[in-house]
Amino acid sequence: MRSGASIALLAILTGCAAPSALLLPGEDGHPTGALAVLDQKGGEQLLDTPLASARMSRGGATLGTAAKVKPAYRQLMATLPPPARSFTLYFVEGTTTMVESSRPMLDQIRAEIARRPGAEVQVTGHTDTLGSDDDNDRLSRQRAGEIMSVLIAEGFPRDLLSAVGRGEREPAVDTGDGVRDARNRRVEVIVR
Amino acid sequence: MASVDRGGRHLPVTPGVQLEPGDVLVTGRDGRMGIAFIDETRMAVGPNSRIALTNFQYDRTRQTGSFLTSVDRGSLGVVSGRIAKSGRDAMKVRTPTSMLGVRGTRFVVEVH
Repeated sequence: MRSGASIALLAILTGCAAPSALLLPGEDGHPTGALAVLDQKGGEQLLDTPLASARMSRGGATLGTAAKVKPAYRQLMATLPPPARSFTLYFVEGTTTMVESSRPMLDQIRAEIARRPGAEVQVTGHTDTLGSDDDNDRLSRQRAGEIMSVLIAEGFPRDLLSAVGRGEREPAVDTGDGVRDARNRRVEVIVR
Repeated sequence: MASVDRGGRHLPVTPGVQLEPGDVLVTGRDGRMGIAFIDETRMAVGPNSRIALTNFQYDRTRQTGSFLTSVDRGSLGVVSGRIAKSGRDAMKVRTPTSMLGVRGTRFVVEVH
């Protein structure tokens, strides 16, 4: 009898503790997205309004709406790292020399890295569409490498840095081939 | 306390530690973690949690991929990124009783 009683109690406890989900309003004025509770037959129950909630037991989900976001959830969301930030540095035609007006951006990149313990940095070089694809692939890699060297020289850990060259494949401005355009001669630095 | 279990080994968590698919994130009573993924997904792991990064695949060039996170216990806060945008239910979150398809942005999942 004793063991029967404890099994019953356990069932009640797990019954209370069904996993739950809460859809939050979008970040910084972005629209609220949606969350679907999927069942095995291909059906779904959709949460698509702010503070829509679901309590998921094995048989299916019970949907509702939360009155407010509880403090523990506010605290949880405050633990999120800040969104990645992107910076663009521009270059003199055909070179790995940054244009003078992009220099202050390096300070902003330094500040952003300092603000994030354990920051990861992704450096992507680009060219305009003048010249051959091969030359532009090489130049874009060299531009990315140049910025990477600057960061490494300042003591940023190499294993948290990655650099790639995208050549002329991803122009900021679509110019067609064979066109010099200062806006496309650039390196993008993403700090996350 | 917070640690990463990788193939049965417990790795201490320090800022900047790089995670791999299959890693299990474990926090104690006072533990918390913030994680930034290369597809711009961000996660927050609350105290007393055990959360597995069951599957993570991302093609940086195409900006598509798939992502499955398993919340065994505790709480997980999510701001979804490019993988969730790359296909219907490309990003999923599993709990002991259910499967969630992520169609965008911010939510919390809790397993007691």
